[in-house]
Amino acid sequence: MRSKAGRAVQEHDAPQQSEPLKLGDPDACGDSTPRPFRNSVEKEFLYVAVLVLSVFALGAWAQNPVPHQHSASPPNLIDGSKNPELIPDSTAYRVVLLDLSLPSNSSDLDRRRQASLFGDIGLTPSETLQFNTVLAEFRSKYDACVQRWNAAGEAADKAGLDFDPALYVQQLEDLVQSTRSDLARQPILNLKVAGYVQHQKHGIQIQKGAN
Amino acid sequence: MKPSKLFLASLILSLSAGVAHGCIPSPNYTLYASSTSDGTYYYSTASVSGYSTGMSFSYCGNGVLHTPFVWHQLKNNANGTIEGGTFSGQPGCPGCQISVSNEQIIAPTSSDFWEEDDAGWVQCSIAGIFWHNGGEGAPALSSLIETAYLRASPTTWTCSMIGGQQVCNITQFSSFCTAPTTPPDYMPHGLVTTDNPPSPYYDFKTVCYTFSLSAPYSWICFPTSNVKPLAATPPSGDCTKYPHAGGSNITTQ
Repeated sequence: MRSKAGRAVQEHDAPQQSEPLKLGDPDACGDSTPRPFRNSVEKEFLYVAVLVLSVFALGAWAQNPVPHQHSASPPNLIDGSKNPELIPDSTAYRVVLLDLSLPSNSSDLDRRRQASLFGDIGLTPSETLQFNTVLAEFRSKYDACVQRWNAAGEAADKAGLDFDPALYVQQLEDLVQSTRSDLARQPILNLKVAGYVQHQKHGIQIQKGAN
Repeated sequence: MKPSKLFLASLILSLSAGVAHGCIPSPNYTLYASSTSDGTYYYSTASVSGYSTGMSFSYCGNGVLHTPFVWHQLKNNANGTIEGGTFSGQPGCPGCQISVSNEQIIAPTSSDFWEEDDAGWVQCSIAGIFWHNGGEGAPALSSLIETAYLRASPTTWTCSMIGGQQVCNITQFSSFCTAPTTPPDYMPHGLVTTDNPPSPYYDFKTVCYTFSLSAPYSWICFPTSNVKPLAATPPSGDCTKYPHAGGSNITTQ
C-alpha cells in the first residue's frame, strides 16, 4: 500500500494540560485568605474586564465556531453525491481535468493511474493520444495561472493591500472553456469525456460564497 | 461607569465587532474524490482546492496564511487495516489558490470490503479552522469498495467479420448466481469476444464502489478484462452481493 502527494500530518502536539487555578485555593496564588473586593474602583474594573472578555470571546467564537471534529456540512454546500445536477459544468470540468492530467514531475504510478482512468472513460489508443495533448496544455496553463494568482496575492499581502482574486478566478474559468472548445473539435472524444465528467459530479462537493 | 471606561469599552466593542465582521473569510472550496481500478489495484484520490474572499487587510493584517487539509482514509472492514490519514497542503495567503491532494492505493481481495472516508478543511493562522466539510472521524463523503464476482450467461449478441476474424459483441447478460446472491452487485454492460458463438457462461471479476453505506446500494463497477469463458454447464455462481463477498466457485481470481 502506498500513498503519495500531500504531506502527512505526523502527529498533533498534545495540548499541555495544567491544573486550573481555584478561587480561594491556598496553593494557587500563595495567599491563603480569600478576600472581598477592596473598593468600588476594583469592582468597576472587574465589570469592564468581564465585558471586554465577553466581547472578545464572542468575536473568537464567530471566527472559529466549530472544531474540525464536527460533521455538520457547511452552509451553501452543493453535494454532488446527492444532487449532481447542481454541480456547475465549469467546476466539474476544472477538477476532473486537473485530476486526469499529469503533474510536471509525474511518476510511473501517476501514469498507471491515468491509464486506468482513460480505460474507465473508454478511450481508444488514438483518442488517448489526442486527449493527452489537450490535458498537457490544460495543465501547463492551469499551473501558470495559479502561479500568477498566488504571486499577486502574496505581493498584495506584503504591500498591505486588499487582494481580490476575481481576475484569476475568471482566467481559470476561461481556460476551462477554451479546453472544452478544444475537446469539442473531436466529437467522439468530447462525448466520452463529457459522459465521464457528468458521472464524476457524484464525487464533488463545493461551497461557494458567504460563510 | 465613568465616561472614560465607557469609551474604552465601546472602543474595544467596536474593534472586536470589526474583527468579527471584516476578517471572516468567504470560502470557495471544493472537495473532490475520484477512483479507478486496473483490476488488481484500486486507486483512490481525494483533494481540496479553492480560495477565500472578503478578508480585508485593514481588519486581518498581513502575514495571514490559510492551510488546506484533506482527510482521506480507507479502512478494511474485514481486518481493520487503515490506509491514509490527514494530509496538509502548502499554506497560502487568504486570497491565494491553495490545494492538497492525496492518493491511496489498495488491492481489494475477495474476502474484504473497504470503506473510504473523505473530508476537508482550511485552517487560518490567526482564526483557526474557518471552513470545514466534515472532519477527521466525521466524513463528508463516504463510499464502500468491494471486489465483485459474477457468473453470467449471454442473452443478446451479434457476430461479424472484423479484419478477417469473427468477433461477437455481447450486449446483454443474465446473471447465473445462487439464489441468495441474486441479483448480484455487478452486471457487465457488454463484452467483445472472439468466441463464436459466445460461450454459454462467463465468470467475471472487477472492483466496484458505492456512495451508499446502507441499502439500497447502487454499485458503480469498473470495466474489466478479467473474464473467463466456461464451456461446460457450471453450478450457479457464488456471486458478490454485499455483504456477501462471493467468489468461492468463480474461476476468475
